[in-house]
Amino acid sequence: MTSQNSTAPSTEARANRLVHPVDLVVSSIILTGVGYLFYETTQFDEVSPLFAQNIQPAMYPQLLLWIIGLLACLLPFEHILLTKKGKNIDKDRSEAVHPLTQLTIGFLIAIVLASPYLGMLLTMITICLVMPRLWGYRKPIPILLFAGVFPVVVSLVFSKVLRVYFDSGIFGIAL
Amino acid sequence: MDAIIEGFSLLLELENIILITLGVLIGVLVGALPGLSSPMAIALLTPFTLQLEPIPAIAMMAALYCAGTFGGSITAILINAPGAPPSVATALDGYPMAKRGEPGRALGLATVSSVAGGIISLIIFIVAAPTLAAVALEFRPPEYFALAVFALSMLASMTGKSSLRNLIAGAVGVLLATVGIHLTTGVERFTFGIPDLDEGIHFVPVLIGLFAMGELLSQSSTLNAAVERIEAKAMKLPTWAELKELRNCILRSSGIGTFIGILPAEGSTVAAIVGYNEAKRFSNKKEEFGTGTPEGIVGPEAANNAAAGGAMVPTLALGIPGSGSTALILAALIMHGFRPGPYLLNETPEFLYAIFGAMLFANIAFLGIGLAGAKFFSLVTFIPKQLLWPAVFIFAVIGAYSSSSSFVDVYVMMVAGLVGYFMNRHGFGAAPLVMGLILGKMVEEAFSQSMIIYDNNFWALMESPIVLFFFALTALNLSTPFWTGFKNRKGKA
Repeated sequence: MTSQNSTAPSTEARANRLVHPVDLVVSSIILTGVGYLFYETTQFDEVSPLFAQNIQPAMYPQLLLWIIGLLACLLPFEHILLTKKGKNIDKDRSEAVHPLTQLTIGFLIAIVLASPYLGMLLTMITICLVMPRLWGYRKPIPILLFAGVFPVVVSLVFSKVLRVYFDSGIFGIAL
Repeated sequence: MDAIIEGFSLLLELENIILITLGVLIGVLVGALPGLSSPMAIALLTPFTLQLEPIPAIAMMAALYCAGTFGGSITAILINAPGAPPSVATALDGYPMAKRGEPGRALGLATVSSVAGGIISLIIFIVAAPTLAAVALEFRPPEYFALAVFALSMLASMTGKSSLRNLIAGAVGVLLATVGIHLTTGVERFTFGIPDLDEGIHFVPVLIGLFAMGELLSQSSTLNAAVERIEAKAMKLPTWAELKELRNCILRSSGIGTFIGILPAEGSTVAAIVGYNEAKRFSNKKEEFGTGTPEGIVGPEAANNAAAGGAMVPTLALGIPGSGSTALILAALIMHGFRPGPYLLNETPEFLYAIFGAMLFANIAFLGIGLAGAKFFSLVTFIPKQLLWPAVFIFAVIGAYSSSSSFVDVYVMMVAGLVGYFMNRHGFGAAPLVMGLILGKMVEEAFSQSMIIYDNNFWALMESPIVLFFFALTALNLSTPFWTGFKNRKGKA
């Protein structure tokens, strides 16, 4: 199920390099984010020194961004120290994101975006029907029981006992 | 004395007893199910406890926290899959003992040592928390700033893949705490024109996303992992003779666990590992470790449960979380309108005794649960992941939605979940980020007030010996990975 690139350098080969290629990418992403946010801080309104008590609103976030940026610069070299300590930073990321995880992410984003239209009860029923099937569960009766009972019980407990208001969506279905 | 009576009387109300018992049961259940963890359960529970009175809400969470640590040992022993990270060390000897036909004995040893560790740490908690709070009353903003910086530096030694990544995650958490309208000047920061961000980032959806959604996505790639289950018919309590033999190990591990728990950011997992190693170091039967020796079970179990009580000391006395779970309890306290720290304990001491009572109740309840429910809790591991995790997702969506009846919070939860998953994949922990997020406001407030006090002269902060002490500890803590690396290299040469 894994789709690891056979031409990609092995973990050991990566450890022998001065710069870790994956961490270099991670570091670049963080630094890009830091750069953008630093620019944002320059757009914050300035207030009079008396009102700001000598600490402008941008000062503290800028200080933090400097710290994050400096730490991120060390990231591509950190594997040298970790390898000497016997830690493998690549253990969980040596394989590509599992296809089922990608599918799950897609489904979760879709259902979350659809939830205002479906309403909370229909959203829950859809999750109970689709997710077990997506994850390879093939017994229809437990799935139907799960999708029929669990959302209704949860809806009743939260709406009647805990008084949480649930949106009924465009179909107007709620308990 | 009045505070003790008031604190305990709050716990004697039927509704509160039910809530705390529910917290214990949820905690053991969550602890026993691999993948589900106490921080995740606390995060999912937080929005619903907001509708409760503050004391029962926090007491319920504290009980869940204790029980979650204990619950993890059940699956560590019976299926060699620790339900929670603090039980990793328990599996090293618990599973071999169960495998050779003594699962009941292994569960009994784990339960009794958990109860002992928990109770010993609570005694230290009830003495240390008010003492520490009294000392902290003397702290001014510069001392608080230095203490918070020290707590953040402790993230470097938190369990995880790398100190550097923990520090980056913690700093990002502190940065996230700056989102919203700046309290002193009223200037909007990082709101990007979204009115929902004016009040800052809501804790609940972020916590749920990071802890529940991130784990859900991680679980999707391990659905087919096969586990061998050992059936436990009943728990067997250790004999007096056995307890006498293990007494020193339990006491030592309880002390170690409580001390590690008190240190900011160090939680039950570190305590359990150190407890196991120390049990082995002091043992006369070192060679039996890993084959199912009783000391290998009671050492980590007493330590990890003791750490839970220890972690509550800085959380309640200083407002500095002692672990990932207590960071969430701290967030819940803030959401209930409390300002955690010495003033809380001095102004409402009954609060301290109510939490103490709830945790004591939880620890004693382990015995009953272990005796009567070990078989049931070992059966819950048969629930298919394909049905369990959709249920978790539903609770995550409802939890995020119900905090302010807004779908925006559900989107925030989803984004936090995706970020949490990819952070975890690259070695950045969710717990350091949450600790940074929770400490963030305090750090900025204390920093700003300190700068005002010392007329913008940062170096003048060093005039305070307490500030100097915390900064020295911070420097020592941050430099440790480098000088240990240097020492190792020198040793090899």
